[in-house]
Amino acid sequence: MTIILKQIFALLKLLNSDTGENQLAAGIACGLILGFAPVFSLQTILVFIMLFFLRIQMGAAFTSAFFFAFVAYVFDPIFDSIGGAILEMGAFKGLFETLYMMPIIPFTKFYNSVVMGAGIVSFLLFPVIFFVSKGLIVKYRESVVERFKQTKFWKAVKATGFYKWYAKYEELYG
Amino acid sequence: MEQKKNKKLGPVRKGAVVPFLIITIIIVGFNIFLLDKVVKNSIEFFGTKVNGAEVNVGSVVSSFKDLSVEVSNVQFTDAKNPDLNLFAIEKIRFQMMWDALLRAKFVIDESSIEGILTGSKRKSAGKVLSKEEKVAADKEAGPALTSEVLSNAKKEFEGNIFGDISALLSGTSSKDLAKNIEGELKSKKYYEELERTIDQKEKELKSMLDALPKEKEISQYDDRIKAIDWKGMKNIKNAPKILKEANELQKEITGAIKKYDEAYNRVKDEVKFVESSIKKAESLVNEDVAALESKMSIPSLDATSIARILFGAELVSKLEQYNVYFEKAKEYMPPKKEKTVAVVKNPRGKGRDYQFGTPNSYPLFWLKKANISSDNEQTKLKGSLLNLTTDQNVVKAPTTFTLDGDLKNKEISNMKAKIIVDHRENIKDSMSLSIGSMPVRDRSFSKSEGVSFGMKEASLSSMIDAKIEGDVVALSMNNKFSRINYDVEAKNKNVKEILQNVANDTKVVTVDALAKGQIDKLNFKISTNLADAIKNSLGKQLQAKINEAKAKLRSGVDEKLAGNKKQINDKIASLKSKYEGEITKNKNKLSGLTDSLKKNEKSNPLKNPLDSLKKKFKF
Repeated sequence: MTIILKQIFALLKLLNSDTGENQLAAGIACGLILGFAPVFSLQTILVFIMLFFLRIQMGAAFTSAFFFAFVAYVFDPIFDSIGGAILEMGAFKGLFETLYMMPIIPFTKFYNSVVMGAGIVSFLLFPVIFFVSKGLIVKYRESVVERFKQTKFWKAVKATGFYKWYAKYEELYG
Repeated sequence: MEQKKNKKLGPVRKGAVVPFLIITIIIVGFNIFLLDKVVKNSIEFFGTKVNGAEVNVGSVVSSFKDLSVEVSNVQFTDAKNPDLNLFAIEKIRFQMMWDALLRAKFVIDESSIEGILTGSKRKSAGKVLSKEEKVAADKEAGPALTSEVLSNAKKEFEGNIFGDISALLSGTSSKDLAKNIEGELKSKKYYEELERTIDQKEKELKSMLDALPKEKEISQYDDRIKAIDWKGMKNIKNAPKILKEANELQKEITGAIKKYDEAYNRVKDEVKFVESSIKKAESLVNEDVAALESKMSIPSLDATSIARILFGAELVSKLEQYNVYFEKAKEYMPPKKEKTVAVVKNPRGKGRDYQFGTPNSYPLFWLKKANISSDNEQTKLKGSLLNLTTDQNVVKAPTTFTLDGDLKNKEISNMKAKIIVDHRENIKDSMSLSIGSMPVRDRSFSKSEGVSFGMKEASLSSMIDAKIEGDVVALSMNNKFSRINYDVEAKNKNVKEILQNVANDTKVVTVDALAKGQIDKLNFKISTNLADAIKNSLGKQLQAKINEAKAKLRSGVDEKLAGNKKQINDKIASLKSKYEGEITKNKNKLSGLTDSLKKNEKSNPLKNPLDSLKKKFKF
């Protein structure tokens, strides 16, 4: 829980800073895969490994996973139709048979219509979400953050001793 | 600060990679340098607990590449003789399947057990677990249910036939007759209790009889009958009154008769109760006599009883031994259970599962085949273990163990064993073991102060079949002892002579035994020519002595109970004569009164008023 809270605070900090838009966008895109996956499966573990080893913002990933899980709930019937259509495609039958017999691969639960549908949709949407969220973050920083920084309230806060102390702490240990 | 801000961070978290690498190196290092040692120590630790004495492993070599393990020189110390090994195995090798392991299952495609030695000398004496350690290890293994279940069967076969015969022939068994009878007899207790019950019942009957109409009241009924003016019936005006009076009287008498009937039935019931109690007391007398016969060791001279005493205990111990293995098999390979269909509701749409053929499915553990082979100066064995698994329904085959060969150092030859453990549906286990020849030494049938009878040496050929289907156990055993060198010792000359005759007449002893039924309710059938020989050798002389002792015992018990029996018989006679007689007498009187009432009614019929009118007008 501490790690999650820490990551969410880091997300807020990073969102309002000048850097890290790629980390945030990748986090949101990974969250899409996590949120769309209906069950805990091998691909979920792979995403977690990626989050652990690659510089992807975990707070962004968990927050977006929470959001996309609700979206997926609404779209499940569509995922079911898409997954069913793919699994019934004659052209892929041989491939699926081979994968079904292989060790480890069945742990992905690819043979389930919703898992397949949600998986395909989330992989297709992954780059889209990445670039869209990256653009939105830049836009957010330019319009919202910059405008906020110009407000009297923020200037007053910046003038306080507490803020100066925080800025120094951030510079040394942040 | 500016420098820190502009510091370019790569796509990989270095802070996560370093700990991951350290953990990976530790795991790999453990597998390379310590895994074999840990496996070796584990086999030694758990093996010692199971064996009850030290187990040593020479070496363990495992290979991650082909998932193979080779265990060399495994020695199981003989707990009874720690200088020797119970058995030792030169090499055990097995190889697991990657395909199964990647599905989190342990499947051993083929394994081999080579070079089995029995009773080999150890370099140093092995440590034997102390009683406390053994108890703790047994507790971990679970309760020994079989011993408890079969304890009744064991008791059934207790006895020392030759000791008893010797005592009988020397007359010592009947000396304590009076002393033994002096003890509490169940029948005597019952008779005393019965006496008290009869007294109580008599009291109740007496009070019931007191409540019945007495002779005085009966004669009053008679007076009232006589007082009725029957002639008044001629006058139609008086008739209703007379008839009413007669009717009421009849009702009263009938009521009294009913009371007497009830009393009569009650007395009859009580007499019946006492008579049936006497029968029960007689059966208790027989029980007391049988118990005393056993207490005073008066032997039974039928061949079945002798055979049961001679070989029953051995049969039970075999059953006990095999049942432990079958119980273990049941624990680790449980039979198929009715599967309960669990509906797991997915919070999200569960979708549809497509099947693309049947994937390779494995049980959690499956040893497909283990070859057993040994050819050395001690053993010549060949066998196999097939489909040892945690789920036979997945592998669709029972577990089968076969072993053929000789244990040269134990002089056991032509040994053939086959065990089938089938738990696919219901439990259906079987075991057959045949031994062409094995030595028997110091097999005692009787060892007491006065008599020692047994086999010093013999050669045994044996066939044992055991089956368990559901909860029904069946064990058959056919043993043949040949080349027997008997051990015959007896203080009493007659006994020694008898036993010598038995030994001379039975150069070959055959034992055929059968046990069948539920484990706690087994029926045993045991026959042996040794029992027949003993019976024949003992002859009529001993039978007469036994009959005499039994008769003496019976008369002793009867004498002891004579007083009680007389008391009961007197009481029952008194019940019959006193109560039955009085009740019948009064009941007959009352019946006579009813008859007289009916007679009077008939002889003085009510005249029809129309008759007089008809007479007057001459119709």
